[in-house]
Formats: sequence, structure tokens, C-alpha cells
Amino acid sequence: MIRYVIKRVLWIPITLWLVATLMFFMTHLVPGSAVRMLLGPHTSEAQIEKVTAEYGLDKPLLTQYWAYLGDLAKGDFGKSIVTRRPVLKELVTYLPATIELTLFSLSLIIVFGILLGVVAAVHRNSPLDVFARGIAVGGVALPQFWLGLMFILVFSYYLGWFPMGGRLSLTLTPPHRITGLYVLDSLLTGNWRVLGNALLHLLIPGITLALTNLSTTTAMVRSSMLKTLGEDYTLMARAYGHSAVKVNYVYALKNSLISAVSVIGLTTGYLLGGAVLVETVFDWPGMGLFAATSILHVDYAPVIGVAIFIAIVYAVVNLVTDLLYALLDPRIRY
Amino acid sequence: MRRTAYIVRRSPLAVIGILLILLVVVLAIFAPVIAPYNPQKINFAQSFQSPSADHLFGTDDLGRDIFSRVVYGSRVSLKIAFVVVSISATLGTLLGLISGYFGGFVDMVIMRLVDVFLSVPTFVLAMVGAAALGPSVTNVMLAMSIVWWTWHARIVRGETLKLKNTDYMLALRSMGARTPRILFRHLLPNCVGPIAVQTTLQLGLAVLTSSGLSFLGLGAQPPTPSWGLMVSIGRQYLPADWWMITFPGVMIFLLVAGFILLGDTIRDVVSRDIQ
Repeated sequence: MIRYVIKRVLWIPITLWLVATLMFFMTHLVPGSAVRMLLGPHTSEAQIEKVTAEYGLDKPLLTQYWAYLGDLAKGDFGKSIVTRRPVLKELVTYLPATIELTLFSLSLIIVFGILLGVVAAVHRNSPLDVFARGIAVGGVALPQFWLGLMFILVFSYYLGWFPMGGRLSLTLTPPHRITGLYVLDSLLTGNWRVLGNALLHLLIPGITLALTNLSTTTAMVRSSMLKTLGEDYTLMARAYGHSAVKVNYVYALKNSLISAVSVIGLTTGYLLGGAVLVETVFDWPGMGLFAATSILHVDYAPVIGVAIFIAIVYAVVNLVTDLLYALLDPRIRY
Repeated sequence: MRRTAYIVRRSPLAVIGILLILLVVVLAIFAPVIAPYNPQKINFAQSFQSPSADHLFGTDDLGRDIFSRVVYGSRVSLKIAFVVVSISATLGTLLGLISGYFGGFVDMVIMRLVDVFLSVPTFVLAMVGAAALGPSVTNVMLAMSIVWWTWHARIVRGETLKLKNTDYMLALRSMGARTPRILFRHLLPNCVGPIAVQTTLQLGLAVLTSSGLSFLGLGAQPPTPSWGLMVSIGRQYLPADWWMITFPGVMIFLLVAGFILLGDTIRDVVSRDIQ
């Protein structure tokens, strides 16, 4: 078991190195693209030549590659053209917002994904099943950016129930920074007004992100539950006299949850990817919005930085869920 | 195959899916006939019109008829989806077969490559690719193909591994069948089921991803009518001109839902076969 953990942990830096390599080659594939990345597209030939020499971009690819890796190792992801600040600094500033949104959506997905999956499995092939699966499938097919805009139209503009974007109303100051997550921080400091306001801002973006990523979890829980419900021990539990509710929702569910854990890592990946779109729509100041605006300004260094950052988070989450999975299921031992 | 088609035909959800897909395909093929206006025709006098008998979906900021743009937009979406999935399915299946059949070092290399590509969420990777290559439809297709072959490779490799050590394979080899023949005439047909599922679902995801990339400004550039781009442009004019974003978005949803409904049904059939 320990060997497995060590092997997995050691694998992360290697994967990240390979990801960084992939990014490097993607951005250096097109001649002049690296310069374009630094300066933007509207540069003259003379400027390109000057910058090329200055940044050593005319050196052989391998030399540049080593320099690139060296920079990354030092934490130098380059500078953003727009803000002129180091990319890493910007990323750290924007990270908590994305984490807050992703965590909130993940909780929604876990709660409702499991609920829908269980209901669908227990009432298999009934209208309830079709309804639950319909929500899951429908959710996936909805374009996240469009759903967000529709929600804003209906709930913010026409009904006025929710704010139109951002993390906090402009009239309020953010809570004292402990974690960077407004909901948590305001809870910890007892700042109820900010707490309510932050939750209000978090709800619709969170629902948008969650609804569009429900299906994997629901499908996994449903199929896992179906398998468990078909097992002999479930039948035996019923034969012993345990109520259907107890057997279905307590015993069977516990065993099915194990497989659900394995989907959480995958879902987090989709959430992080989808965060780019949702943050853009809701003006949520996270890494995703940062990446999206950088793209618009043809400022590519931050985009790479965000991608590598997300890869790190994704790798860690996957490691944790894999370990959790191995821990929870006694049948899996390495 | 025929049995699959029979079951799919009988399943109401799958039929709805097929109809939705066909609807968009028809729109794409017969766009010049169906669209009442030239999608690129600018007419400032007619800008910001709400939906009416004249303009079914209203007009946009430049006075272009949105219905026509939506109809022509179907061409962009379908083209991207089919090109990307064709490339990634072909490449992925080939690499999956090789990886599973030959095993050893080749397998390790290919699988490590798959792991690397899968260690970054696919949308993010496609985003970086499209950004690095420059915003255009071709680059979006390239970026997505580079990322998505991995799914096919994994699945095909799994199937190949399952079959590799069966008596079936042993018999073929002892009869003197050469490797390419084994790969393509015997292993590949056994993988068709999972490949079909993955391909159909990926077509839906391709539409979703490409419209997301277009929304960010990475895909088709103006004035090309791409659904994602239309939503992005229309966003500036909310809430007054709601029709500019509503209809392109609905189309994306319908097309993607169509592929997913079909794909899910095929998956149900295939997994029943496996059991």
C-alpha cells in the first residue's frame, strides 16, 4: 500500500514536467509564436527580430527548453503583458475565487448527483428514473456559458432575485482574509452580512457549473447502485426484515459511494475547465476569468500558467481520490 | 450491428436524438435554401430588431438576420465536430490497437502519452492549443484532435487487451495470419461497439467544446456565423436584446442533446451485449 502511495506521489512531478513540455512545444510549434506570445500580434518585423535576439529565442530549441524549465522550477511563469506583473503572483491572487466556486459546485454535484443517482437506481425504469437521468443528460448538453447568461437574464434582470455577477456587492468590503474564500472567511469572522451577500453571489454561478457536470456522477452512482441492489446480500438484508428505505438508502448506498469517489477527480477536472466559461459570464474574478481575458488581449503567458496550475490541482485531486478509493474499498490493496 | 440499429430504432430517446441530429444536418446541407437572408448582409437600418414575421429570430447589432446566421452556423459546428472526431477516432483507435497488441515498451510510451494529455482537463488543453496556434477554425480543430485521441486509444487498448490472449487469437496466429490482418480484420471489428459509443458522445462534446472556445474568441472569427461567437457578441447587448444569445444557445443544446441521447442508447445496447 505504502509503495503504491509513494509511486503515485513521485509520479506527479514527472507528469507536470511532461505537461510543461507539452505546453512548451505547443507554443513553440508555430515559428514566431513565442514572440507573438510576448508582444501580441501587431508587431513589426524589426521588433520581432529585436525581441527574438533579446530573449534568446533564436537559440536552438533545446536551449530555450532548458531555460523554460529552469524558469518554471523557480516559479517564474513569465509576465503578463497586460498587467506587467509576474504570472505566478496573479495566479495566487485569483486562485481562491476559483477554489471557492469549484468547491461549492463540487458539493452541489456530490449532494444532488448522489441523490439523483440513488433515486434513479431504486426506481429503475420508472418516470422518476427517466426524470433524474433527463436532468443529468440535459445538464451536460447545455452550453455552460449560455446557461449562465440565461440564468442572469431570468434571475437577475427580470426577477431581480440575484446579483448579476462578481463575488460581492461593490458596497461591501471583503472579509478579513484567512483562506481567501469569502464564504468561509466571513463565517469564521462572524461577518453575517458579508456571508449572506457572498452566498447570494455564489449561488447562481455554482448552480450553473454544477448542473452542467452532474451527469457523470449521477450515471456512476446509478450504475453502481444497480449493481449493489442486484447483489445477494441486499436481498438477504430485505429477507431479514430491514425496511426497503434502510436497505436502499443506507446499506446499498454506502457501498455504491465508493465508486462515486473515483468520479470526483474526473468531475473536478471538468469543473476547472468549465470554470473558465462560467467565471467569464459571471465576472467571477478567478483563474478562469484571468485566462479568458488574457486570451482576448493576446497575452498567452498567463494562459499557460493557468493551464499548468490547473494541471497541478487536478493531479493532486486525482491522487487524493485514488487513495481514498483504495482506502475505502478493502478489496483494493496494492 | 443490425441488432443495435433495431434496438436504437425502438428506443424513443434515441429516435429523438437522431431526429435532432438530422434536423441540424438538414439545416447545414440546405442552408442556402432555408435561410431567408444572406447571413453576412449588414443592414444598420434593421439592427436590433426583435423576433418578428420578417426576421424569425430577430436581427443582431449589424442588422444581420439571426435565423439565417443560426442556419449557416450549423455548418461550422458540424464541420468542426465531424473533422475533429474523425481524426481523433482514427488516430486513437490505431494507437490503441498498436499499444494493446504489441504491449511492452510501445504500450508504455503510448499510455504515458495518454496520461499526460489526460492530466490536464481537456477544455483547458484545447484552450491553450487554440491560443498558441492562433484563433481560427482550423486551429481549434487541430487543438481538439490533439487532445481527444486519448479517449479512443484507452478504450481500444482495453478491448484489445481483453482479446489478445484468447484462443481466437491463438488460432489466427497458428493459421499464419499476419499482424496487420489480425489487427484490422479481427481485433478492430470487436471494438466497434465501444468506439461507436465514444464517437457519438464525442461528437456532442465537440460541438460543446468548440462553441465554448468560440465564445472565448478562439474559434471562428467574425464575420463567420458560429453559434458560440454569436452568443459572445450578443452578450454585450443584454438584457434588452435577449434574442441574440437565446437562439444560438438553444441550437447548441439541441444538437449536443441529440448526440448524447443517441450515444447513451448505443452505450446501453453495447454494455448489455458485453454482459
